[in-house]
Amino acid sequence: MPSSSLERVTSLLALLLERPTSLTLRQISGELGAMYPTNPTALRGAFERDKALLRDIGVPIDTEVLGGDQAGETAYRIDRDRYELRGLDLDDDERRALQVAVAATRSEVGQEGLWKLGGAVTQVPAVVANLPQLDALPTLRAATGARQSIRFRYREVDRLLDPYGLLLRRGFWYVMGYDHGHGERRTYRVDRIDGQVEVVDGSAFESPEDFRPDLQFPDDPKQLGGDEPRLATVAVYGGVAAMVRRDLGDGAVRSDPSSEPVVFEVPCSNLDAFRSWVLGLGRHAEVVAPPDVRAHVVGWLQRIAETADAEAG
Amino acid sequence: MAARRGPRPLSDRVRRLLVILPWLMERRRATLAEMCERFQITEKDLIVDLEQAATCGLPPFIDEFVDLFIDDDGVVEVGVPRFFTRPLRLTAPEGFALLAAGKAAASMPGVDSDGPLARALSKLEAVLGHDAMVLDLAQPPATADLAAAVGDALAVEISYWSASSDRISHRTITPRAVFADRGRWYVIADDDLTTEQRTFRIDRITEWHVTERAGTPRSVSAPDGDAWFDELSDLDTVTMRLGPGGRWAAEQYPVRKMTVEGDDVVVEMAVASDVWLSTLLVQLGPDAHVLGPARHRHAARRAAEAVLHARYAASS
Repeated sequence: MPSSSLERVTSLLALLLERPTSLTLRQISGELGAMYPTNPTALRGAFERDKALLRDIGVPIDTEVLGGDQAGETAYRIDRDRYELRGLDLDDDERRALQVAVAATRSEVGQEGLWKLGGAVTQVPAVVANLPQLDALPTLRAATGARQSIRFRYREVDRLLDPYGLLLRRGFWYVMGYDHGHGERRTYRVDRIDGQVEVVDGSAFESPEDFRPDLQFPDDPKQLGGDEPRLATVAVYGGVAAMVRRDLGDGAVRSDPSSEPVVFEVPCSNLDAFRSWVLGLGRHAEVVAPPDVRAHVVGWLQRIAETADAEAG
Repeated sequence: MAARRGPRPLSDRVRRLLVILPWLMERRRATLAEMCERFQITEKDLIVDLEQAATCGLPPFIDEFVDLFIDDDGVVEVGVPRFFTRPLRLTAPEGFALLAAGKAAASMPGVDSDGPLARALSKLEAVLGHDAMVLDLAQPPATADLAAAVGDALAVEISYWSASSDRISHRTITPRAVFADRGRWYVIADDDLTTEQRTFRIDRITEWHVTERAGTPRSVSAPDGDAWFDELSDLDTVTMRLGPGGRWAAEQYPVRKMTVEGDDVVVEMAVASDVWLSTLLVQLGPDAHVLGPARHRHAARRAAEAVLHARYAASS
């Protein structure tokens, strides 16, 4: 499959930025000569790839259907006023603060933004956070900001969502909002969205006042899902107990923390997350109660022992 | 920024060129060295991209080409600047990236969350519109003390639970850098126990005490993306098939290779230690199947039996 090239994409961009009016694909390929294939199908494919690449880097190409003697033909243009953010006027110390922030998150796209604002590279600070960078995020944030609905595919189902907010937690980005298909609020992991996120033109919604994504979402995955909030009693043995106590807080301790084992109350509404957590502590932890949760964990362990035996035999 | 391996994605090159060209058009003349330094790009990559940009434009009108050449002394000269003369303003992805970086920085230990950063963030939010975006970089309690110890290279006494040996050790470390990756915080430090530089998971530091013994500060950059796991190239690799319920393992831990096979993925992962792998396999249960090497095939069974024996002997 022929791919885009740096010359062709840059030339297309130069052409569309230069011309005050929209151009049809025929006019574009005429102007750019041999850069595009002559076969109409190949030409269309190449142009769509270039268009997608420009959209991904934040330079969307607008489409309009022409009238008059070109009636029905589609024409393309880049409206700088639409895609460029205006009105950002930073002081020197604000720019420096952002420069440190960009260095601390090692955001290449952020760095390119700062170069446009006159920033220069600084040393990487002693504290750094690697943030997950996902192509859908700018679109999701823009839709959240403009209160426009979005369409996307998730777990093989098309979704229509009024996005209320975005949250980065425990290394993952989530988008939360009102899901029209389910008729209720839902939360989706952004990295699990299939393909593009599309903003629904002309849509508008009201988001709940003072919506706080961090308060809408339990900060502990063991509390996610489930109907009733449930707690399990877990006995933790050895020095690991001190680590668990720091993680869960003193409020979760249900025994004398200086004697062994230390007993904790732990949310287990999300049984999968709870099981994963408790098994992560290996032989240092025992689920004491409730009986069905203990039985679930024991059953899980027994199945692993038996399955592995069967495979070995 | 860390050097990348493999070809640079075209979108990255176009994006970078859109920053470099207007800067160059405005100055008309710059050295390659100055541009490499400023735009964090190797000279080889920069020359390739500039030479390709020099063939851009609207043929057959020769004077409409991006008119630039690079002389033998490494000086880039622009003839008549035609395209990309107007400085490009921020795109939405750049605005987003700045906002995310600023919000992340505002919640990091040791960063002044008021003052210039807060003002810059409110200006960005004003331009980007209504905002309901939260970056929760929750830190284990020791994080701020460890980050503060980096500057003066203060020795810190710690108790550390190592998943690989399944033991709590007591050691004195000198923190060099603190970083977050995939939602977890780590400290890179000189370790007196092994006399080597080691990376520790901060949530596994059960006790700590910052001493007043100051060492010589040494700059260590925190690793970028998966690179830090790749550095451990002497680690054994395990190949596993993960069902849909086990995909989280490939998201949580760096993966050397991944192939999608229907609903499953087949991954190659670095094995931090046998204990680490056994624990992971017990967590994954039926969602993981070890394909090789053979010596790891029974790791899940042995680990499950050990937990059953130690804690649930009466139930099983």
